[in-house]
Amino acid sequence: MKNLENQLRNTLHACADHIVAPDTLKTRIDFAINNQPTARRKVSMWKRAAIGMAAVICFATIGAFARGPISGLVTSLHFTHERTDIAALQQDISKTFADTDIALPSALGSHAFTKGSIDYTDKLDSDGNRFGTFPSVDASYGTGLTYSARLYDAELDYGTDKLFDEQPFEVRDIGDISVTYRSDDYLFIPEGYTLTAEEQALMDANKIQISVGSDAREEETYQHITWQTSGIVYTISSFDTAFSAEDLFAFAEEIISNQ
Amino acid sequence: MQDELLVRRLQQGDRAAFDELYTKYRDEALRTACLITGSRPDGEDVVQETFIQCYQMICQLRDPSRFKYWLFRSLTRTAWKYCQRHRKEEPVAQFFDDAMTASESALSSVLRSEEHHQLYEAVQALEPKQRMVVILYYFNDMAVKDIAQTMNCREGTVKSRLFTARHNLQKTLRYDTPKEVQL
Repeated sequence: MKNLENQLRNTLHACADHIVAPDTLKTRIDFAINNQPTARRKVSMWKRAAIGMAAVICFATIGAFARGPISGLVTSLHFTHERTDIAALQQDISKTFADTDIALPSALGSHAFTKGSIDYTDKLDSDGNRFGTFPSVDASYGTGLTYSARLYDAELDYGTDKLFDEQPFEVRDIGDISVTYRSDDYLFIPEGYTLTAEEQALMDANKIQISVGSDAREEETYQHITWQTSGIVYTISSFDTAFSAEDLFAFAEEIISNQ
Repeated sequence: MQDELLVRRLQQGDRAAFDELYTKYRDEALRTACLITGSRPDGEDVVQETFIQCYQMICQLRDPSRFKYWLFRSLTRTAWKYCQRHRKEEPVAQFFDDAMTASESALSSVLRSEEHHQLYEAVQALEPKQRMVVILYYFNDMAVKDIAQTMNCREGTVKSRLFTARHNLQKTLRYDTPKEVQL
């Protein structure tokens, strides 16, 4: 036994001890870090990952995902191929989500498709380690609407309970599909930012969601409408408060009636 | 400098602290990743991904004194993904040849010996989680409890994987069956 253990130790060391990290490896790491600043990625995740009710609240809220190990989500380091041609994006969807019938509408109401891509989001555990990645299609319409679709995920999609107090929340049935609308207030702050007493009180009272990692302090209202059908979770979202809940329900109805 | 101080500096945005941590752990991380994936290019990709995650997630490390295990937890998870993705790993001979061409040091003649070659091949043939445990235990000299923390599993699971791995290696190499396993 000792013989095996000694040989194992010797072999592994003899095999790898000569390996030294080349300078190019640090260059690659620095390049990736310098071109994907953490702060931007986090905010981007919030803004783009209109990926369902649970996902929206999760980044700074450990324990929000009561049924699973997820403590946060962050945009993955995959390179995305942004499409301005809806047919090309539809082809990407077919490759990424084979055997599904995710179809992109050419417009949401009077808001035409402008661009979109297949994006990847990482699931993080409480130590910040990535343990899973999922794709979604995120398409922009007009100047402030985002349409997203991804596969149903039991770790992300649970419950439709209202998440923040005193913020609009409504569920309606469109045909036989239950559609949930929310409007949540967010405060994006840079790392190292000290909350004012008022902000802290709002957070403690569960009236606002705080997300750390933006370049500057920003207050935004995030409206989103979500439904699930045939194993797909769809979301239409906007940070533009010019859209009303009725507008979002109308967009959802238009899509559902064409599915 | 102690990891704890470097981590605290990095958490406050000191990029130089990241460089110091990278310099301290780069070689061990790369060696471990190469052994787990059985491939030098994959090993470099794993290390790259691990340190990028480290930089981005460092604020979430609650106990800076455990930095190494936190880093290696990320590394083993990333390496596991690579193993799953690239089930057909590089042939052992090619790994050795790559090491030779890297010319970073003379690969000792013992590596060329058939016995070591077979043993390395047997390690590579282990199921990835067993292989990781073997590498962390015999190459990185980690204690069972540290491996458990690194791999996010119970100490009993680590011991069980070590036992099974050794048993499988013995079967492959036709060593005598052990009477008792001491950890």
